[in-house]
Amino acid sequence: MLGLAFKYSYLNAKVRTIYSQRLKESDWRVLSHFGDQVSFVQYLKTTYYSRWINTIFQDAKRGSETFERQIYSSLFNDYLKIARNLKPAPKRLLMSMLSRYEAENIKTLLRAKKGGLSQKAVWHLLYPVESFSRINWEELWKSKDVKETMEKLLDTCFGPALAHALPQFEAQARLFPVEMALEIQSYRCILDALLAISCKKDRQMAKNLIGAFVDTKNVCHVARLRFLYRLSTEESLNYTYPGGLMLNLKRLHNVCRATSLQEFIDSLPVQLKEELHETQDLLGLKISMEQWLLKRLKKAFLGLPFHIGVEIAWLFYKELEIEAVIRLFGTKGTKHRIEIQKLIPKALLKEE
Amino acid sequence: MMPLRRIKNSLAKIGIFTSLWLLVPLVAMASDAATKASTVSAKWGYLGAGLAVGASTIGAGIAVGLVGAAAMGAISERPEVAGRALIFLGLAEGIAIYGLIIAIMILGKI
Repeated sequence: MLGLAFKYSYLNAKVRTIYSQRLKESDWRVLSHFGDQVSFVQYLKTTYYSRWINTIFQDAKRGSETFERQIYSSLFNDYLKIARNLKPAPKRLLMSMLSRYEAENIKTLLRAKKGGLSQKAVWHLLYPVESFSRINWEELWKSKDVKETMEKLLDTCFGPALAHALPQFEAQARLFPVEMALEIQSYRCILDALLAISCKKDRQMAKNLIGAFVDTKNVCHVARLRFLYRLSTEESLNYTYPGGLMLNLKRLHNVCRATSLQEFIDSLPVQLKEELHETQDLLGLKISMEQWLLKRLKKAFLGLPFHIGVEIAWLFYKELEIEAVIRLFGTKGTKHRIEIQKLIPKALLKEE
Repeated sequence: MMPLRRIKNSLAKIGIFTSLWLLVPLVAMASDAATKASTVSAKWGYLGAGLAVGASTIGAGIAVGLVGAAAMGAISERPEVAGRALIFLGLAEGIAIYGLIIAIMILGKI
């Protein structure tokens, strides 16, 4: 106990201080009332995010297209700040959580290669991963085609998945299975890193939070695959992420068999169903699932504080906060007025 | 025959003499025992005072370690909380002072 207290006293105080600077209900109210993106960003520059978005809208070259990616620098900075103060195993877990963003950049890169686009044409779609990524991006961008890019990635953590997906790509000439393989591999890396944590309390807390996060992702992901892309049950199940807390493979199979959104919600565990009873569309499903996850994340800040759960909860919380900011930012360019409750989970608005 | 008064006087003298003869060494012995007893209790007193200071200082060290680390974490993110953090650091240091006070009280009794 004393050892854990010594291990986490500095880090927890740091994380709780950062947590205290999150966007409050008053911030969300103000942000929701702005009619244009410039005012929205100007207000956001008065918050914790100012350091990372201060160049947005300063000149014509760096505007709205860079905002959605630049704001993630703030999240990556928090990841690195926390990882610096952790032992190797939990540090590896955090770095593997970041590999999801590397996978997203690889996906963008592969799409650009397939479409014959240059790095300059898609740079605004790339996450600012330079601060933590060990992948040689310059070398990847020099590749002639998708196959060469994939071959260069074989010695990275995405290697096993890409080795499996490469013959599929060559046979079908479709990027979708490759993209899914990359995403799933990033979650496998997280699971491997999670199991390598020796402290039982840390491992359990991390498992619960990451499991809940994976459940949230799986519910939204399967719903999108089934009802938006109209994939079959087997294919949808094949593309689910590993490591869920409540949704194991058997449950996921039931969920994937649903033919309507209502049937889909009914096939979920009771705890999730309770949160989703008013859901009518995919956006509503996403917001409700985020609401469920945020409630769980906030619980990590209560009780005995000396475990890695506080750090992981904050990082997921911030990720959801950034997603909500981007959603709200997206509505500013349009004339449609959407109620704030339909875009932002209540748990983000509620102050405790 | 010896008169009764003389006998009484003699007995009184013998009694006084015997009492003196017995009391002087007894007083001397009692004084010696008291000195020995006070030396033993003083030993325990010194030990208690040492323990009070030592244990409370170790406790304060642990507390300052924890509070100080947490304070540094908080100050690194929000420098404006430095004043409040120092108050809590002072509270942790207070533990050592409690031990010192107890030690002084023990030493005062010896």
